[in-house]
Amino acid sequence: MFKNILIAYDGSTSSRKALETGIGMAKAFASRLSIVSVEENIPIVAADIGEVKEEKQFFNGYFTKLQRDAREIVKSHEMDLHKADILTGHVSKSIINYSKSIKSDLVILGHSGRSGAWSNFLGTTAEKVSRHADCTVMIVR
Amino acid sequence: MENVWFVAAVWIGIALAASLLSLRLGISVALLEILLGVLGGNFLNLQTAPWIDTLAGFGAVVLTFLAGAEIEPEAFKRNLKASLTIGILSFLLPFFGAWLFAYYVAHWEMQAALIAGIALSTTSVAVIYATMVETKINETDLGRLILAACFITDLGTVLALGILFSKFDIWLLVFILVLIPVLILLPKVLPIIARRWSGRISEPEIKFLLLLLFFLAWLATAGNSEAVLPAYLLGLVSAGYFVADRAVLNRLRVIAFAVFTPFYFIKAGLYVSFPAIASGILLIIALLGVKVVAKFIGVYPAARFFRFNIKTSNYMTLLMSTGLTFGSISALFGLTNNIIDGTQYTILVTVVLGSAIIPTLIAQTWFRPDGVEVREVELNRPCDTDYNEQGDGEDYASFPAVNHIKDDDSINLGGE
Repeated sequence: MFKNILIAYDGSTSSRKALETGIGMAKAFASRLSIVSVEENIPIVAADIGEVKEEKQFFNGYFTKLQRDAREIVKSHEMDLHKADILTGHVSKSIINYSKSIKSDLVILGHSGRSGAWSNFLGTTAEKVSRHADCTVMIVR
Repeated sequence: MENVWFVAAVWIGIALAASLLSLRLGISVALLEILLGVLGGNFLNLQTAPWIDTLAGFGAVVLTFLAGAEIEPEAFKRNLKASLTIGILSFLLPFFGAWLFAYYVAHWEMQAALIAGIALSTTSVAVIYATMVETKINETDLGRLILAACFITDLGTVLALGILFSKFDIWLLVFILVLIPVLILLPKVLPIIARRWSGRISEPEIKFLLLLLFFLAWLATAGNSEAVLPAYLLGLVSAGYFVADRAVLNRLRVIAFAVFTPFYFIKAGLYVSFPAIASGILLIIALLGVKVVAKFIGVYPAARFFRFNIKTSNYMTLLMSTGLTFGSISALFGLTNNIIDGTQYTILVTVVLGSAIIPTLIAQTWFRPDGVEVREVELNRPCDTDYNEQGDGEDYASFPAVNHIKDDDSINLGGE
């Protein structure tokens, strides 16, 4: 049914559930499985370049480790990832664009990630992705 | 609030709150320190003290040095003609535009109008860099050219700030006579110092840099120039060395962001008055408009001349309309030296803050060039590689980037 599943993974509890769900569905449908993580908290208005570089380096380290752990989990189910990428920028836009670029037919993500305070005012990433993505979106609780 | 320890605790408490909010909201700690300073000044009667002014001054000087030290000399040389042209125009047009507008339309005193010109001529290299990181444009020739042009613009700003208000007396001559050999010798001396003293707990390299910064700041201010002028020039000449060895720069940044710059940014916000914003809102909008229009008149034709397409030229111009650090430094210089009053300071800092946010959002939303957007992770590295969540164990810049994602089963996850 689904040939190309994309999981949005930020290390939050709900995104870990999304990963587990994605693994189960990829097994069931013999689908390709990809994950994407988005660094969203790089300060746009900064005092000096070093501040941006150090924040970026921090998030690169954090998400690289997350994705590596995710891959280990996937491997423990005798599967492998088709693609795994880290993007920087607006989370929902990045997930939607990435999903289009790899032609995924299902995006799985947790109902509440790490967007924190902003999601209370602007809506969660899951809401925005489900509203604007071209493909089927599954929100895991 | 007389007790110095209590005052220190309050200011550091505000700085800590800014850091925590910054982590929570993903907004720069500098911007939040300014905003909390504004709230503290307007609602908590937060006041400065001589020792706070001194730490704030250290913050401005070290921050300016760090800003100068981030230029990539090779990229600058490669794009010399274009970056010089765009950078100079990006300084001159807004400088004259804001100066003449403040003088003739807002009827500010000549000296105050000059401060307006300088404060609004700036470009925030950091804001531009942060914006470009998302699309990886900073790693392209276009990105390097824009960044190099920004350094030229900021050089214009610090030169104007350092020269226009100087007394041309013996002290200025002494300052220049000391500054020139230091600028020539520093790039040669830094590697020697690093070889001899690197990695020692007593941090002689940091102390050496601080000695130069503070000594030259003393000579500059004795000649009624501005302390940030030698700091920026020292940063620029030593940038070549720091490309290869960023350790000293990183340690200096840690010290600056922990101890010095919070005092500077909170103080910068402290003098911003809400009533002055309300009464001067039209002037604030007008000056912001003058800055952006002047940048367009200066930068856009130059960008088109160097054959950038319309979308990219708009993007470049909008990014070069941003400002934060040097704008606030210029305004605070004017206020500290009684060149501008509190109302004028409020207007200038509000325009500076507006220019940090509004052009960035417009550029990001409507004019972002299509570019590289994805960094592929080296998942094939062994998992016991020495990674940690602090992100300080690896040079991630060396990770392979991909321009386009291939729709191909055979793609190597480790990057090709």
